[in-house]
Formats: sequence, structure tokens, C-alpha cells
Amino acid sequence: MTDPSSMTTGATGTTAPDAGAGADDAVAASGSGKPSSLWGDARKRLVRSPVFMLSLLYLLVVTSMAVAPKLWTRQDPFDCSISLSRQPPTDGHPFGYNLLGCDYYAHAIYGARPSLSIALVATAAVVLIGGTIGLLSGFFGGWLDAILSRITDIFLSLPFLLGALVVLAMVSARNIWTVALALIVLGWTTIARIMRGSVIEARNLDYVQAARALGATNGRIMFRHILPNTIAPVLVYATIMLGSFVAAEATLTYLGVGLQPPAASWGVMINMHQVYFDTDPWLLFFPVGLLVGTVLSFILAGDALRDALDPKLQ
Amino acid sequence: MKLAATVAALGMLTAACGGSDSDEGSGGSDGGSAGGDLRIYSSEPAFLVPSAGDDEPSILVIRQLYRGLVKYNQEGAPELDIAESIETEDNQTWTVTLKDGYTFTNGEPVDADAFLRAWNYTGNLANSQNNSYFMGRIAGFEDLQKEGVKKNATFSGLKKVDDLTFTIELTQPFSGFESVLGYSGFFPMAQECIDDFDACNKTPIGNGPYKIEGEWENNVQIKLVRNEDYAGEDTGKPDSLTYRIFDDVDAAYAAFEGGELDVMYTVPPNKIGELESTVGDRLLKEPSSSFTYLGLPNYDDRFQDPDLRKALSMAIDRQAIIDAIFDGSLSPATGFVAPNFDGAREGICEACEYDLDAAKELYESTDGLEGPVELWANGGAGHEEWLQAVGDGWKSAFGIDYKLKVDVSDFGQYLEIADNQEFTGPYRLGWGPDYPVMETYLAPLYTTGAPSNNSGYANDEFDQLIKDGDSADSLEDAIPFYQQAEDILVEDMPVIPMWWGLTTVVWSENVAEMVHNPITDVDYGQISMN
Amino acid sequence: MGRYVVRRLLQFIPTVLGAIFLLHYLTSLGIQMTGNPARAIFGDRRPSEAQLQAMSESLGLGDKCLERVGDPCIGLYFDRLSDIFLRFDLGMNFTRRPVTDIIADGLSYTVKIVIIAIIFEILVGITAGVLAGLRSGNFVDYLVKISTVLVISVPVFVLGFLVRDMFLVNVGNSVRSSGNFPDWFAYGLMSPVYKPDYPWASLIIPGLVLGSISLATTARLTRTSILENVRADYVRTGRAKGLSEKRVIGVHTLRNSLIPVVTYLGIDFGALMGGAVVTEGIFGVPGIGREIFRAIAQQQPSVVVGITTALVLVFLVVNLLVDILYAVLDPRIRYD
Repeated sequence: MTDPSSMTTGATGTTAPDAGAGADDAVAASGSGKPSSLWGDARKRLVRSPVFMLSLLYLLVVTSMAVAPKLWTRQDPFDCSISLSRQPPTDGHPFGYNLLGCDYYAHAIYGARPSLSIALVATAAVVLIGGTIGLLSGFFGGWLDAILSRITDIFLSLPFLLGALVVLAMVSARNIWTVALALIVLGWTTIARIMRGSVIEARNLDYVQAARALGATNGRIMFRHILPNTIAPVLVYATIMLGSFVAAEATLTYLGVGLQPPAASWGVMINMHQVYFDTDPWLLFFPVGLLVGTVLSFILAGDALRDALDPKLQ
Repeated sequence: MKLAATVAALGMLTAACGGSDSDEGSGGSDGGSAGGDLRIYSSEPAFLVPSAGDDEPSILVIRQLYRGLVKYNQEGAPELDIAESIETEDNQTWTVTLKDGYTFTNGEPVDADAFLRAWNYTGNLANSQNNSYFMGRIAGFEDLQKEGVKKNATFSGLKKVDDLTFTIELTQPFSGFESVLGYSGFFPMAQECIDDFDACNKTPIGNGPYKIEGEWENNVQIKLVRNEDYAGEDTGKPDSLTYRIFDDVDAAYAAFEGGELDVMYTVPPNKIGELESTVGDRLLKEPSSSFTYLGLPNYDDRFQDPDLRKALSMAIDRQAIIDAIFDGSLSPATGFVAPNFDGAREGICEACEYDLDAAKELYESTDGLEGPVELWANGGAGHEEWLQAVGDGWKSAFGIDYKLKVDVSDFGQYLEIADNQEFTGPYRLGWGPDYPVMETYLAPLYTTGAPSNNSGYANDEFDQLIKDGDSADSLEDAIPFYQQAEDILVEDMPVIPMWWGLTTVVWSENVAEMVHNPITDVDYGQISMN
Repeated sequence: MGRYVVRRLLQFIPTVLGAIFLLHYLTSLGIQMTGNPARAIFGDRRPSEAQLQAMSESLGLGDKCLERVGDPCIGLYFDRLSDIFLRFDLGMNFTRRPVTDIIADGLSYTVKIVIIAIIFEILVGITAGVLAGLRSGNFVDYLVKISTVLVISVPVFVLGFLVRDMFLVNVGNSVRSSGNFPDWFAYGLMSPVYKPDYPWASLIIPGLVLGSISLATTARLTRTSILENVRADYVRTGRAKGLSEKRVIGVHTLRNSLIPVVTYLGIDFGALMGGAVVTEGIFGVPGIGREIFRAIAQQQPSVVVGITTALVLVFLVVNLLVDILYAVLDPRIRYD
């Protein structure tokens, strides 16, 4: 799959900045912050985009739930009484009670943390691992590229969900780290491909050739000249990935291999109450609403970011 | 999507107990006529061969394909089926005579050899058949279970007298042995079946009122048609039985609601509340014999005081948990033996009653527990919720914190922890009966060193009473001994009984008369259709 | 072209061997870390050493290396390879069903719903994407954008429940009782679960639900790609030399815009086969996804390795076909 792989990069919808933008990039990264730089322009465009600002606002709200749940509720989500099981929303308990008779609003607030942590841990690791592999593969080419590309092919050929299931069957424990691990093991390939494509494009640019001619070391070329060029597509993809990992946690939990109670993630809340969909739909409505909102915001933010960073679309 | 629950169901004998108001299938046409195709919900069976099928879906098919020495009547007592007579002097050596004229669908006769070859095959370690466990009482079992045993080795306790007669010798006297013989693991097998197990599993060679049409379409369906050569009286009523196989009970229930199925013997708990308005009286609810308990590590110093164990039990509001989490689809345990078993006494276990004040008082008189108490269950199998509710109850009653230990989601690994007695706190486990004798709830779980005694409970008096019961002259004489043994458990509380399952059967308007057996559950072959 | 295909086929070898090794290693590690899966078969009844040993042997779990954590079980790996490639024997599951049978029975259902899903993506996704791309910024564009993003963020199992319980059961029952519809529609297409009597009709709705996950991506990808291509030089040249608008858009722009979409669909084929786990469970489809899900949970290594290898092969072949399709779509690409 060597030939079309650079097209695959395009296929994920994250078009790498062209040569001109790349040069601007390098300038911006070196800190001179000219008003006409790619990032500066992008920022201006983003601030003017209502979709992006709304998404950002929503994500800030959700993040604050994850970081400081006590800001949002004084209830203890684990103070439960079975006699209150599945009581509908009332005064002081806007979301009602869950199956075990715990305050559902508190659960929804506290549920943000595990859901977001998994997505964040997994995305960070995927960017790091996939990015490094893609960078090395694209920059050095030759036999290293051949081997790394084959390895990428192997992981890419495994269906995502099945691979994640196999990894989770391997470790019997179910917590934030193991669920994130499953997502990482299967998720790094796309980033590696995007990175590799961008690096190959950037490697042959004139100013990189010039730097090489001037005797810059490989390390300097990679970090100083090539990396800044490749950040934009990776960033865009990582934003979208955050959203899809939040959804993936819920799906794995639904399949019974994700987080388990007493952990309180949105996925656990959905899974615990999905069977009451007919009778008590609000038990499903709140966690699904929060989840969908978060996934939506990440995707829309990623979209806006891509549009802002891609001068060709202006 | 409760997959681990399916795994847990492996190795459980189906025996839903409960009297049914429908009369026994007498072949009469009072409630409907013979004929029609009955579409039945099933999950994927493990095996369709008697020696290997030990899970509920397998047995519900096997019972229509095969017949054994005895069957169970509506009281749950054994009644002769293929056997002409089963006699014993000392409860240790049993002589079986067969009725003449029965054949397998491939033409082989159902004679003494048909039974002996099946049991020898099942009991031999070299064949690793799931039902070998149930052959454990026959003399010579130990030798057949030694490593390196020859494939053609046989039970020393099984002897053929003539074509229709054979004798069984047990390792120890057991008054309830006739009841045991009704389990599907003791059904006969044709020689052709043993010669090619895999073929016989796919296209069973039975001796019952139904025979397979085509072959077992794995994960899709199993179609049976009436066996016109069947020599017994209880011939099948519907022309055909179609077992539609589902992996997910919610999907199956959607199919039932959409008119795709005629009988469902499992209803998802969340649907139970609305049954009255959806199916009305086409519904049967009976306590089943599947037992869920909270084991206590008797091998752990902290759990050695019986008063503490009782206090813990009394602080659990079983009914409230059942109503909230299981929509009332279980019945709270009030004893150690399934309520519909001969000899069971309702309400025998006083400490199984929810009594918060008495629990607190009793708890104060003990050394108490130091929190957090670790509550164990195999993860991902739907036990987290009710365990949390139990923990919440203890927390409010005694002020001890709890922690769920549900991070072992591999059932095999969980069972290994049980085998090695490594639980660090109360743990959930289940039990299903091996045979319809109350002893099946006592001996395997609580006699010293018994294979399923994972709580480490040991009481000589209890062991002796079980032995006395086993060697009593008859089952009737045995029951008082077993009841005394249960009394000891009530005093000692080695484990906390939680609840019994509740069989909920619903059927469509195509079904004229439902036929349900207390031991073997729904008898599909005897259902008459409109 | 011929030489290219041969070269690609040769490249399959390391990928397949690597994938098998990866799965073999992961499943072995799982057994090493969580203990012998054969124990679960005995349930609450503790087996003797000899019984457990005999059961393990008969299930192919007897190798001692499965007790040493971290041991890659190289010997077992080569045994597996020679079984698979020399004897075409993929082993058995815990109920002694040959894995080759499981694949033969289940794969056709899974491939059927995946094909339905892909066709759905092509018909609806690409059309929506083209409309949105050509009319960038107007109402259609926003409509496509919002609806696709909404679909993408609703977890597929929630969507599946809604469709099954609300649509197929409730609406379906009134369709069935009205008697105004042909049987294939009322009892096939509208059946809440897969039905053996209607092997295609009753798979359509599950296929659509499965396809809806990737529908959004297909539409958005098409939109972006069209947007990029309508400004390309060749389009300007085409217009300048007097080609009709229909030809410029319909032939040139579309053809070029579809390249990344086709790539995506190729990769998506693999993702859909994995995603089928969920859809098959909800709609009672007896496909390969449910089998492998069960096998993974019960740690049946032969089944996991066997089925996944089959899926990997299907995935590789589909992607080879996709790459050949490139040459058709883009004359600049020549493989020889």
C-alpha cells in the first residue's frame, strides 16, 4: 500500500498546508507572530466562526465538570438509597434518580471525568506514538519506512472495534487506563499516515533542501523545519479523534468491555439504563445528550479548525 | 449484551421448578389440536448430544429429540419412561429393565447397550464430555477420570444382564438415584453417534418424539419434525418445532413483539412490568431453581462469627433490590433449598428476613467489620448494580464503607479465585440443581472439601446428616435428615442466600395450551396450537 | 497492471503473517494473564486437575507456554501457521465447531450487511456531498452538514434500538396487521430481526443502520473534495476551452473528487466489518461479528485468530480492488 498512502492522507479530509503556508508556518513557529501568518489568520477566522465558538464554549463547560465537579453539584453521586430507584426529576434533583437511587444529576456531572479522561489520554498517546512513527517513516524513508509502513498496515488491517475487544480481553481489569490502552493500540495508525504524508511533502520543499545544504543536522531539520509544517493536519485530526474516542468509550461499555460500575462515565450511565428506554426515557436522554453534545462539539471544532487552517478553502 | 452471563449458564442443569395449572399432556384435544409449526425462542445451544449438552438451551432441544429411563411428573417425582422397571434392595445396586420396541431414528435399537455405551462414553476422561460430572456416583468413576485412561475403558459398576436389562452399582448408597436418571445427561446414544460425534451433534440421532429436519443451522435455527416411528405414548403435538436462535434476548423479545415467535421462556427484566398490558394472561411466572448467593470467606478470620454473618444477611432488603433492579423478576430466598423442591420449607431462614433493627443489635454484639469491605463479582455480567445496593444497605446500617471488586471480568479467572479461596470479602456466585432432590443444594456446596464448597465451610455434624440421608431407605426417609442439615446451615449462615430465579414464559395467540413441567420447564412437544 | 497486482499480492504475505502473530500474541498473553479459559466451562463445579488438563488438551490450550506470562509461544505460532496454511485447519471453538465452518456460515451475513451499508453510503453519502460541495454555503450545504454530524455523534447502538423498537416493532406491527403490503416488505424488510425466510430483505435495515455511521464521513469527504476540485486549474481550462458545464462537473470534477472517497470506502470496509458486532447483536443477525465477540469474551484463541485473519484477508483484497479502481478514476496513476 505504499503508492496510494499519501492520498490516504488527503482522504481523511485533512489537507496538508501547501508550500506557501508551510513557509509562513515556519515563521510563525519561530515566534515572530506576523499578523499575516497562517496561525494568526486562522485565529481571526475562528473567533469569527459562531460554530467554533459555541463548540468551544460547550467543551469548556464539560471540561469544567470533569476538572471540578464540585462547582456544579454538592450532591455525593454515591449517596444512594434503593427506595428512590428511577424516580423522575423533581425539585433539587433535576435529573431524577438512577437505578440504584443515586442522584442522577450528580452522576452526570461526575460522569464527565472518566469519559473525557479516556479520550484525552488516548488521543495524547496516539498523537505521540503515531506522530513519531509517521515522522521517522516519512523523514528517513528507505528501509525504515518500509518496515514501519508494513507494521502500520498490519494494525490498519485489523477492524478497530474487534482489535479493541481483543486487547480488553487480554487485560481483565477495566479502568480508564486499560480502556485507553485498547483505543491507543488500534488508533495510532491514521495519525501515523497523516504525519508521514505531510512529512514527505515538507521534506522536499526548497527551504528544507536549503537547510540541509547549509549542514543542519537531521534533528534540527525535523524539529525546526518539518514538524511545524505538519502540526496543522494532526491537530485537526486529533480534535475530531477526541470526539470519536468519547463515543468509542460508550460503545465499548455498551458491549460490556468498557468501564464498569461503580465507575460513573456517561457510557456506564447509558449502558445501565438503556433497557428502560421505553419506560423512563429521561434516564437515557441526559447521558446521551451530554455525550452527543460533546462528540458534536469536538467534530465541529475540528471542522472549523480545518477550514481556518486551509487557505485553499478561503 | 450480557455475555458473561451466558458463560455462567454453562454447566447448569435446567430445572425450573413450580407447579403449573395446565394439565399433563394426555394426548386429548381439549384445548386445541395437533399440528402447526411452533416457533420457539432459543439461544445458541452448546451441544445437541446428551453426553455433552449441559446448558439450558441445549437441554430444551435434547429433551424433544431424546428420551431417557425416567421422566418427571407434575409433582416433580420420577416416573418410568423407557424403563419397564428400576429396582433396588440397598440403594446401592440398581437393576434396570427396559421396554421393548424403541429405536433410534437411524434404526438402531434402544437397548441396554444404548445406555451403557452412552454412560461409559460420558464418564471417560479421554472424551472430556461436559456431563461426566453427573456420572460421579457410579462405581469406577475415579478410575475413568485418571490421566492416561484408555478410550475404551468402562465403568466397573455397569453390567449388562441381557439385551433389555442391566445393573448399576453406586460408590455409596443414594436413595435419590432414580430422580437423577431423568437428567438428560443419562439419555441413551446410538453407536453411530459415538463413532462420529461431530456428525451426530450436527444431525442428531435421537429416540424421542421429534427428529431433526435437515441439520442444526448454527446461530440461525434448529427445525424438528414429529418422529412418526416414536414408540412412546406422549407423541408430539405440533407438526414441527422451530427453535429460532438469538444471541441477544432483547433482540429476541423484539422479534416476539413483532410476531416472529410463539414461545419465549425468558423475558428481559425491563419488559416484565408491562407484560399485563401486552400479553395479558398468556403468561406464566414460576420460581425457578437457579440460586444466587453471596458467599462469605469462612476461611478469613473476619468472617468466622456466625452472628456477624447473620447480621450482614438481615441488613439486606432483598425485595427492595429485586423490585428496583430486577423489576420483580426474582423471588427472595428464605432458605437454602429451592422453594418447590420436595422437603423445602418456606421461611426457614430467619436471618434472610430484612430486619434493620435486629441486624444492628446483632452487629453490635459482634466484633464488627472494618471498612472498606470488598464485595466481589465477575465484572460485566450485570452483578455490579445489586452488589452496590447490598453495599449501600450495609453502609447505612452499620456505617461500614464498601468497595466493589468487579475488575475480574473473565469468568474462568473469577472461578479460579473461588477454587483457590482467594476472595477477600463477600462474593457473588450461583448454583443450579444437578437433580430434583433437595440434597443437590446442600452436599455439593457445604460438605467439607466438596468441589463447589468455595466458602471453606466445614461442619462434621452437617456432613454426617447428609451421609445419613443418602443411605436412608427411600427418598421420603431421607428428607428429614436433609432438613436437619439445612437447619444447621440456618444457624451457621456459611453463605448469604439472596434469591431464586423466576421463570417467566410468554406465548403468542397461536398457542392454545401451554404445557409446563416443574423440573424440565416448558414441554414444547406437548403444546397445542390454534 | 499485472505486475503491480502480483507485487501487491506479495506484500500481503508479511501483513497477514504479522496480523496473525499480533493476534496470536495478544490472545496468548490474555490467557497467560487471566488463566486457563477452559476453567469457565466447568462453571460452579470445580474440576480435578486431570479433568481440566483433558479439557484444555481437547481445546488446544494444553501448551505449557500458555502458563508463562510474556512468553510469545513461538512454537505454538508456527503450529498455528502450518495448520492454517498447510492443512487449512483453523482449529475448533469450545463447542467443537471447526472455525472454517463458523467462517463459512457467518461471513456471508456480515459481508451482506456491509455491502448494503456501502451501497447506502455511495448512493446517499456521495449525492449529499456533491450537492453540498457544489452549493457551498447555502441551505443544502448546511442541511447536509448538520444532519451528517448529528448522525455521526449518536452512538450506533442508540440508533439501532430506536430503529428496532420504535420503527420495526411498532410501525412494523401496524404495517403487518393492515395487510396492504406485500409479504417481503411486511415480514421481510420490516422484520425486527433477521429472518431466514427473507435472507436479503430482512438485512436491509441493519445494513442501513450500520452504514449510517460512515455516511456522514462519506458526505463530508465528498464535499471537501468537490470544493477543492472545482477551483482546480483543469476545471478552469475545461471551461475556457468551451466544455459544457455538465461535462466539466459531471465528468472531470466528479471523477477526480471521488478518489479520496473511494480510498475511504475501502478502509471503511474494514471498520464496518468490526462495527457489525453491534449491529448484528441488535438485529439478531447470525454474522461473524457475534461469533468473534463471543470468542473474544470467552478467550477462544483459535476462533479469534481464525476469524480475524479471514477479515484481514477480505479487507486487503477490497483495498487492492480500490487501488486498481484508482487507475480507472485517475489516468495520471499508472501502476506499471
